[in-house]
Amino acid sequence: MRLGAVGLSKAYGSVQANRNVSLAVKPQEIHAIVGENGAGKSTLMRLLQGIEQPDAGEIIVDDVPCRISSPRQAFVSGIGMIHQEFMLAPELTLLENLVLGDEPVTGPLARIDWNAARESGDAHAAQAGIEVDWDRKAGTTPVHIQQYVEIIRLLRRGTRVLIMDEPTSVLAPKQVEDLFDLLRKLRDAGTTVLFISHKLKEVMALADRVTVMRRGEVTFSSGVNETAISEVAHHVIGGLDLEQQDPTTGEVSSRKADERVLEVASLRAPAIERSHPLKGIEMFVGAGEIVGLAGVSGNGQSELVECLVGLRKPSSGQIFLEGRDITYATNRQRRDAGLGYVSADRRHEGLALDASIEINSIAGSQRRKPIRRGKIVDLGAMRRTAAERLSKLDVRFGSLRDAVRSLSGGNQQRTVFARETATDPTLLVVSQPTRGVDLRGIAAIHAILHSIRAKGASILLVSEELEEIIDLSDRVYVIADGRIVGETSGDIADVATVGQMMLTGTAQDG
Amino acid sequence: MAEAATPLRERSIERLEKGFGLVFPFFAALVVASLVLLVIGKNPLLVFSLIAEEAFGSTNRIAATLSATTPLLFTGVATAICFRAGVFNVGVEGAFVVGGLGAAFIGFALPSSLGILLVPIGFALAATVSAFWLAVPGYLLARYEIEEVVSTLMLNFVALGVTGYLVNGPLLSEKSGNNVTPLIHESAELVRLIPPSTLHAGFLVGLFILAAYGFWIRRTPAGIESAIVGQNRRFASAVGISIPATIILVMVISGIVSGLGGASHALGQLHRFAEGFSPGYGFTGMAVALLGRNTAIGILFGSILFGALASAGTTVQLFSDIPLDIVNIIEGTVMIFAVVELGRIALFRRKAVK
Amino acid sequence: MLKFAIKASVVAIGLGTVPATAADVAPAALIIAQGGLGDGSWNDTANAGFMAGIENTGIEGRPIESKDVAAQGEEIMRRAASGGFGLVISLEWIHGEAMERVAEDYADTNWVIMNQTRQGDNIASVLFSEHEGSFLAGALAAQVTTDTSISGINEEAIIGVIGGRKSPGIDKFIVGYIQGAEAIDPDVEVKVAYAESFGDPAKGQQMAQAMFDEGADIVFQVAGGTGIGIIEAARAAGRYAIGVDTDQDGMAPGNVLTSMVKRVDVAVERIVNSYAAGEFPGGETMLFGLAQEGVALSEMKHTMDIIPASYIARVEELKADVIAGNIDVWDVFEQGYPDFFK
Repeated sequence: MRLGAVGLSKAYGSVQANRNVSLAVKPQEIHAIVGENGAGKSTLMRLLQGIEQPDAGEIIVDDVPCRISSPRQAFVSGIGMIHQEFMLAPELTLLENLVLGDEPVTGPLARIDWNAARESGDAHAAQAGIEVDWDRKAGTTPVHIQQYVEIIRLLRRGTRVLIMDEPTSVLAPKQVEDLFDLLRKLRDAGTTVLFISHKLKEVMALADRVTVMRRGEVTFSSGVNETAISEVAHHVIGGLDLEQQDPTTGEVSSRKADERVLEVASLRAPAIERSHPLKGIEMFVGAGEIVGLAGVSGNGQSELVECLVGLRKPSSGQIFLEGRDITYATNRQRRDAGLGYVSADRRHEGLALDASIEINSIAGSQRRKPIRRGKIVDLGAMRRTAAERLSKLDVRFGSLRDAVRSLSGGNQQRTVFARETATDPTLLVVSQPTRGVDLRGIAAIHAILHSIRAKGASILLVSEELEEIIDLSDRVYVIADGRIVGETSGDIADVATVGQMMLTGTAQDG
Repeated sequence: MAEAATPLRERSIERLEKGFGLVFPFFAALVVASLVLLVIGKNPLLVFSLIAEEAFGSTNRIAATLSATTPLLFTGVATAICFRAGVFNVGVEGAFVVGGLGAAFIGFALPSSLGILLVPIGFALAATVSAFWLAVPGYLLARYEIEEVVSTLMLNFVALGVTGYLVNGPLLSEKSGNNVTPLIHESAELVRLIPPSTLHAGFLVGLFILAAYGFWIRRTPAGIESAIVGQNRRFASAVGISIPATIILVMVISGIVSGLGGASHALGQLHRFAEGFSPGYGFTGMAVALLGRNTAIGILFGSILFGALASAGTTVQLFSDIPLDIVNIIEGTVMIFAVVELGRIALFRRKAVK
Repeated sequence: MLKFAIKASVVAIGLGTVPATAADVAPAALIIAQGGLGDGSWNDTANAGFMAGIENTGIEGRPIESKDVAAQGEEIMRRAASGGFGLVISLEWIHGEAMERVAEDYADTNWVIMNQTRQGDNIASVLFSEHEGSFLAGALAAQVTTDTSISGINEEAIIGVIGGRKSPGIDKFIVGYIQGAEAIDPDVEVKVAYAESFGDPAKGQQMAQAMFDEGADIVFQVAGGTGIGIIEAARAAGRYAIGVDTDQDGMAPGNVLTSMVKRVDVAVERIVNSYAAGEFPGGETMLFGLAQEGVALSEMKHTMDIIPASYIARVEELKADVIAGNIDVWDVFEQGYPDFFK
């Protein structure tokens, strides 16, 4: 079966989730769709599934434009999807799950014909070359078997285009191999597979064709044999063209980077939610250096940052700030020792949105001179300090008493910088500084980072915007799966190599 | 465009919050009470003017109102200081009661020869006992993240149980079959400000506490920090403020203020401890704090409002057949709308953000 | 001044219904104690007597409620006196000292306090002889407890009493009860226990059940709200409870043998009557015992037909003896603890 889409667009409020997306999936093809989180893959799937209706464009099934108004209709048209979290009923047996909603019946009383069910299940399993214990409850079955059952269940009911959303995220490497074998067999037997992933290696190994999405658009599509992993990585990250690559300013390398402001040794820490724990981070930041930390989000960046600034307790390892062990220091001790922190989560951690602009720009300094005089707070000094800090970074505001919520995103972020740089930190940990900031704001923030460094401070820059990191950093670390997997100096860093390290989790040879 | 529009809307919300905060629930309550009065065939205007007259119609009545206001000044501040830091301490009631028993104990158990010294000793003991009383749930919250709402609520029952036991056993007045301690020595009694009214020096202590609270929240690093913790805990710890230390601090201060309130009530008003020592001052204090948006001036007006309802609501029954229920309806509606008002502002704000 | 203004407006809008008679007698106020109206007990009973007194005499009168009656007592009393009330009765024990102070300032007003004695020419103190009523309850219980012809009664001479907390005020009931029981049968065993609470029905039920298990078949409750559980336990076990203060016979019809009723209504009504008649007993301590009908056993509506008439007759004899002064019932509150009960 042939599945296509022409000019699909879908907006949620002001966010354009899909913009003019076209797609052509040939029959008997394994077609991979890759892209970062938020690139628009899930929205596209929802449109193909009929969960959402496109604002513009159409879906084409077997060369016929087709309005898919509901998941049920998608199913009838032969499109079936396996979600990241499986949909089997845990209390029912695999056999019951297999026929649920489409039971074979026999006799005048329409009894469920379990034998027929078992036979059809076995037939499909044999075709796929696997064995299934049909009487086991789904809840106690290993996930990869559940996945098989789900696939068989869809096939049994006439699915000809199988959409799989990140199917390998729950599987062990060996099981991934088995799944791929199964998918290849299915393809050879006539099923079309649409495979969503952000693991490039897997995609290159399995797919016949790969389509890259970025910021809601299809940016690249190619047969796997006609491209290379680095090229795909390049498009996923959305980097500059290699020719236009602008090497970073060279003057920096002359600095005495051996004077280490921050040093991290064998740092391990537990995970946030489903993210990776830190598995022994080794890194340093030299004096006057901007060091970038690149990585696909959720590979340990947040944990590392929280360990550095004192919001998370490491399980082992050490952190040194200017030679002083701060591994278990309190947040306040770190700040007093010269650490500044621009949080990635501006709305919940970088600012107290309902507090005044004044409080937001002086918080952390309420016990320092000149705000504190004796035991009490000098309100005049507090006001002046706030105004001074804000004007230095050109923050536009109405009144200091307004809630900081009333500022635009860019001014909010500048307020954070105004606060965190006012105390002349020796190391500024900056996480996702330009997230949610418009283009002019981005330029201003980059200028701020440069000026801070010019004053002699060191910066650890964590960002998902690879261009930003490469553009600003003297050196770049690449983090994947809780480890530093690569390091490259800013001069020779390019989007393709770093991007590939990020996505494959290994340093490139040479 | 968007940048210009947002601040304007935000500012109007803030004005709404400050201006209507106290006034809106009050008028809403009047409307509800009016409807009830009309249904039972009374003229709301006359009833309200009668209540106003009983609350503020003469020096004696103003003094009676302020006398009823006094405990609420303490419990309002004790609650607000925690609410402001995002700590939902509902244990002021219990701390007020144990503090009151402590002060009363000093008042009758120590020799009367100590004279006026009994007063500071009584206040000090009450503050100490109540500070420890609330430090416990504070520590449990700070150290083990044990829900303060549950622990402080439970402690209220403990307070009632313990004081109930003491006042019916070891500390029971020999002269009484009922659940009261002996009277305190006369020298331990707080002076009355406008005799013969029961308005006593505890009111001045309350005003002082209120002013100190107003100063503390604006003019001390700890006061500013506690507000930041209340606004956003992640932010607070990111800028180097210790959440556990702040939680324990506000709980201890809340305990001290509650204890002083209990002492003022025991030494100034009842001159003993009795079962039913507090008819729920701690809980009315929560309404006062909510109504007053945790500001000193708001707490002052809030506690006068509830004090007026308590004093006028009672004596107005002498001169009309308005049942106490009407006053209860007004009080209850004010509280409900104070809470609803909070929720409404939060909702409005969320919409404005979107 | 204020008083007249308010009164005028009240009359004008018909807020109050001022009876036309007895217009020269100043109105009366009844200050309701903690617990408020609707407690089905002390406050409601007193209010009933108050209303009856007002009805009899035609004077104006109002019950006054406050959620904060302990702290506001003095202000309420002052306001009542300054507002022109001629009689102020407080049901709240804690108002005693304050009443002494206020009564001094308002000599023209008549004051009444309950369950204690207060000094002042214009104060009447009301005391109830609960020990006398309890004496009759004990006498009845001791007769019934060995009569196995009555359903739920065993042959053992064991009865029980559960107090809210140990205090002279409660032991006054308990000692009277014991004395009454022993007046019938000197060898009767009276089990005594305290619930340590006046508001814990579950505990009351457990303790009563325990007493029933130990052979008691009648338990006298002197424990306020806790007693509700005691009565419930009697109902569930098919045994008997004895109610207290108000007529609680209807709470478990047939299983509440009787109730030792404190007739605060009688006391209040009588005081209102004498006030209206210009014979207020100022400066006196009024004892309301068996003789004054201030304490009594209930009508026993639900149990009269199962209790042999001879037992009731015996109780009546004892009552006559107490009234005549032939029997002195021990008053723990006045006399301290007797040798037989420490």
